[in-house]
Amino acid sequence: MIDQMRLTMLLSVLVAGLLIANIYGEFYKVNAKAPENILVIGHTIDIHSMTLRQKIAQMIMAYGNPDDKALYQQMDIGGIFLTAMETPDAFNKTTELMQRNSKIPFFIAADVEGCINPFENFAKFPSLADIKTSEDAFAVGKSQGKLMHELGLNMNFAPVVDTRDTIWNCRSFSGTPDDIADKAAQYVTGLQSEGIIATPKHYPGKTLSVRDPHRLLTYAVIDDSDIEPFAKSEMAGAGAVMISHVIGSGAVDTEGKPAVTSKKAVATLKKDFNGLVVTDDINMLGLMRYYGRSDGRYIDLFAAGNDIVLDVASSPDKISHIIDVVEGAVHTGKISESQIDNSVKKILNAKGFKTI
Amino acid sequence: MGKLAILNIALFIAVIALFINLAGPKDITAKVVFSLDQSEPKCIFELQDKQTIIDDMSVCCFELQKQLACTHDNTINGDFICSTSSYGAQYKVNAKAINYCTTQGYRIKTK
Repeated sequence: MIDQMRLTMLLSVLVAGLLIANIYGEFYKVNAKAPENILVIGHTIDIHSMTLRQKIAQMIMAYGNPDDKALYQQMDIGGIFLTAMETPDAFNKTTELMQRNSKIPFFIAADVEGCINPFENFAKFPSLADIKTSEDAFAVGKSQGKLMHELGLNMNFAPVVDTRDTIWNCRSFSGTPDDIADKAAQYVTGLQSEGIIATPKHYPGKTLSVRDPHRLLTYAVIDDSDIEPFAKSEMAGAGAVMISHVIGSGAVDTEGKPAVTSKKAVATLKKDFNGLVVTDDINMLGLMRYYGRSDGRYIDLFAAGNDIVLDVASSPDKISHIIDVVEGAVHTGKISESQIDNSVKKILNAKGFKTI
Repeated sequence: MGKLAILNIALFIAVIALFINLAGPKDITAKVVFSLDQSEPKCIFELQDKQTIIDDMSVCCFELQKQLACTHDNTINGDFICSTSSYGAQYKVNAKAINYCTTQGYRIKTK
């Protein structure tokens, strides 16, 4: 009887404690302080006033859930990714809400590709596969950019410049590699003329033509023709390029690893490209199968030299954890802080700031 | 069994439930349903009557999250149609796929 009473008391204490912990979410407390320390004077930011955690956070883009806005602003993450909404008004309200009171404005991105279109409920665009000429590509890029700008977005994870799309059959431009490269460059020019950062994807190519029937890692031999659309887009001034999880050989050697975590692949891209290198979503099986659920993938993603890490299946506690891991890797020398600083400078410059 | 013993069993179950809710992923329901559902996740992309199977579930989940909503397809029990408009691209998925994506942290809007 006494043992049962003791057990009752013990269990009651445990229940009370866990109830309180559930309410306050103690196990996954988001480690962030309000970014009041960041010195912003007009359009100039003193990067030295940012903590390491804030700099790492600037390199992360997450799913744009308005419920997470306060925490993401507190952490000072670099941007958010939006998906389909019913009306233009819904987009305007969301983008205005997310940017309100931001110390450093978010990148606000979406996948506006054509046949994949978050505005489809109120605005239709042709799929890239149906675009006949480079002039048409410019016009489509410009019209998509105009709408995105009106709705408060500033970055498009597009165009898809894989030379073949045998999975969706609509996401890539059609024609020869030269045709695709020319259309891609004109699309980029049209989109960016409206103030939207273009992000040709998915470097180094062959991401939409490699089937993975066994759901294992994805290997591809990369040809010069796969790289040509990226080169022409970069020459057209694309502000960013998205890098994929394909394990490449041939024209781009990813060292037997997913391209996003290959220092060699990222360095090859950056040899002729000064814009932002954005990872494809880091929850993709192409990355998860290689690393499992190990935190090592976060270290390798940042160590590889990417400027922005995209996590669309994100939550504030998960983002906080990623920052913890990367901060630790900087302190142990696995990632250099100067590399972080270089990426943050590029990000802030792309947002219209000078840095000191 | 004495009343105290019954109370202790109830408290023990409460401890387990609260601990799982605190330490595990938020959507416990999806996790439980996913485990109990023995079918394979299914994801089919359809545009202009042409269908393609999306083998990679992570790619499927990302695409589903981009859609406006996933609604029940009354023609096939347990399946959903995920799209942004009535005339554009669609994804036809089963409940297993929806639950898998939810357990992986993707935000799938279902009606």
